[in-house]
Amino acid sequence: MLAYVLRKLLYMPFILLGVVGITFMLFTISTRPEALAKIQLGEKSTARQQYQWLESKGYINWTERGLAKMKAMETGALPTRTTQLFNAALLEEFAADRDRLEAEMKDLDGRDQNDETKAAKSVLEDRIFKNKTLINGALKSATTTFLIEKLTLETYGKANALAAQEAAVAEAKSALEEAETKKDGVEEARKDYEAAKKQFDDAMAATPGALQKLKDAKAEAAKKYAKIEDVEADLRYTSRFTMFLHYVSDLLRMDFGDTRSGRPVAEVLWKGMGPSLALALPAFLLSELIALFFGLLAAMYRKTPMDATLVISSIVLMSVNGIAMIMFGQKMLAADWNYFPISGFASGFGMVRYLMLPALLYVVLSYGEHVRFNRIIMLDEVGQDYVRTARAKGLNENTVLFKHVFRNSLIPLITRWVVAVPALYTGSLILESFFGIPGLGYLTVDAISNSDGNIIRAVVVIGAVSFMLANLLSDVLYALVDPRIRLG
Amino acid sequence: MPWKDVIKQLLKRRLAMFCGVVIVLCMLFAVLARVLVKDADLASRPGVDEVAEGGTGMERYYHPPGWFLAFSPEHEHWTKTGTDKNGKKNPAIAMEARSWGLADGNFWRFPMGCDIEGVSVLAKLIRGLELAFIIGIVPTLISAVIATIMGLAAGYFGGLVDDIIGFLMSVLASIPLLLLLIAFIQAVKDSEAIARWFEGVGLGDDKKAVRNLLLVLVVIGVTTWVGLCRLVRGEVIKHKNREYVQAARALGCGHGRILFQHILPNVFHLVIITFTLAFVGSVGLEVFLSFVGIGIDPTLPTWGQVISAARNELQRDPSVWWPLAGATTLLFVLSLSFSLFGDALRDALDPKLRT
Repeated sequence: MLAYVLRKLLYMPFILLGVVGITFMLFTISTRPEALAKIQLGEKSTARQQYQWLESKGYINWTERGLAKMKAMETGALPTRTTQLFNAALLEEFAADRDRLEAEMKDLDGRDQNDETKAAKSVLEDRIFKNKTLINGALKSATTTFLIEKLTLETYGKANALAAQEAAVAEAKSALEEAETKKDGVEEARKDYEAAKKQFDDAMAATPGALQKLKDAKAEAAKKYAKIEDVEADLRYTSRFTMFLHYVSDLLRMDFGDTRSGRPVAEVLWKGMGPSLALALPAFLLSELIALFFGLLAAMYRKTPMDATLVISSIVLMSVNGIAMIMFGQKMLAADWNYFPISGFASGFGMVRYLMLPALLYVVLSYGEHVRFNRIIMLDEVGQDYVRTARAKGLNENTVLFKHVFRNSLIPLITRWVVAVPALYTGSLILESFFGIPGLGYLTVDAISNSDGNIIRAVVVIGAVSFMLANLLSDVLYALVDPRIRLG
Repeated sequence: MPWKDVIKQLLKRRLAMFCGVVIVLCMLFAVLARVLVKDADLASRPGVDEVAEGGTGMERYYHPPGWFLAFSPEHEHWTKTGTDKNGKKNPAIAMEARSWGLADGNFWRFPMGCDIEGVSVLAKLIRGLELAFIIGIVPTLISAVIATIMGLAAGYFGGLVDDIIGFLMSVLASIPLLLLLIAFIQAVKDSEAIARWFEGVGLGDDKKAVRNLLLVLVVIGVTTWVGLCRLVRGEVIKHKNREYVQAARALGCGHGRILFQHILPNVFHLVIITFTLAFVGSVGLEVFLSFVGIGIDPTLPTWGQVISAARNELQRDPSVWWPLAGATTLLFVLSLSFSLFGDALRDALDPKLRT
């Protein structure tokens, strides 16, 4: 037996790795790491903070250019708010989109021009426009960064001011010429022009050559950043495998990340476990006791109308949809007849009245399947040879049933109970969300509606681990309880 | 597999045969659903019910089943008439105007009542029946195919193949099904590659509801094959060293032929039995997914949507219970028939599993 247990325990990490791998794959296929960072750090975090967090978690690697930019931003040489950090993957995506859209446009141009192609063309033009806006924005940002780096922030600012003044001068000049042709307001226009020119000349004298430097640098930038492919990336995503390794190491340290509202997932899960267990444990015990009772009843009164009633009732209750039953139950028992409160929860002893209806509904919901299963098991046992022997020995029916049949039918039942226990902590998703019980099930349904990936991932991993442990425990228990079974 | 014996055994059980007839009737309705309930019947028709002269006075255009109204003249649905669009309270309906007796057409007009949007509940549920069959059959088919292939391979070849497939089964079985479904659906929902594939097949952006439904069904199929696979694998292992397989090998049959011509027919009864159970399970899963709000478009008239929409309807004053009652009843009838028929089928196909 020890060898069996050890072997199973040895397999477990691999299966766990598989489970974690699947959940990781499912959650990263559709979300970018940037979205993850936003969840963790909040919507208001800057791109710089997000990328720093991503780097610490192993999702991205800085390029040299990126490192230089970050250092410049720290020393104040680059403005933090406006400097954009370029992700290699995003840049490649822009370029690929542009090429693909161009190819589609060319293809549409080659076909006959009718209403259909015109409609498709206008849709395509929309997309091309959006893509161009993105690309132009990126190019502009890259150009600005290059200019600031070349001229230093201060000089850049001054040169920009100069350029603005130069433009103001040109505007005043054209206003003057217009006034002269119209022969109206010439004097004011000339005064404005003189003032603007004087301001410009003074400023030029203060910082000679700055404007020229700016113009030269702009020309250089235009040549350097002609297309999006010329922009250097500041960071790139690491391989998915590296991301996965980091994720696994986080899990090993029980670091599940933060929920959307900022609290650590581990704390939220821990607090949610209490109400879940408060509902699930008593309900589970009650429903199993009742199912055991009815199973024994079916075995005792087999082949009588009582047995038939039990079979019919269990199949009927199994076929009714659980959600509909909960809705009707809640409406009739709580809302209409006011036997129970409709929903809500309280801590301490007050929670009992809030848990009564959910527990009752749990019992009714699980009655059908459990009674059916128990009945089959017990009838199986009753047909065995040892029961015939016991009766032949002269034991009365009660002893045969409650001492022999009951004990032997407990074996498969125990294995089923042990495996059902991990499901208890997750609570019943439906019951908790209908009755407003703040347990783990309610949390999970909330997380689904809010697309909070961290909670769902954590619940899945914990569920898988406890399920595997429970399976192993039930195997061991089965071997302990049934002397005919030898594990290994 | 001695099919004649199976059918003879099956015919002996009258209850199961009755359920079989019910199932066939449902299938008939499902196939004819588009003919019986045209799209216009499902269109939302808010406004005063135009049945009686000058309307029924009910500003609410939804009302309970005709027979319910006829037999409960004191019900508040008559007295709570609501207000018209100018804000004036509609007058209570006079006794003479209550033409809901057996002889009048109103009794039969809405056998299951008329829901919030003015659509006859029965019409919506018949359309839902068609969808329920699709929801039941597609995932079960997919999962049966996957499970059979995996089970045959794992049981027959053993060794490394068995280890790999066993590992896959353990991993999939360890993750709670509902959470696995939700994670899978959210991952796949917005994928570009899949959207483009769908466009190629002809389900563009306008048919988003059908597209999402198919996606959900495929996901259910791909995640629920583990149970059947375990059964098939066990059975294949039992059959692997039987004499007829040894004889086939001695005759020079290759692995493929042995698997699909000799072993598969002897294992197939498990597939059929699981099919009936999985059908019901799949429909139940859809109800849950609609309730949680994942994957199923609210515009599709599936039963799950009716049931989850009923949650808000029940809280109205007076409460609107008849869509929920109708959907639950139809779902109950379908589940019961499949369960009983599946039970009888199991008894007929494999006496060893008989209870």
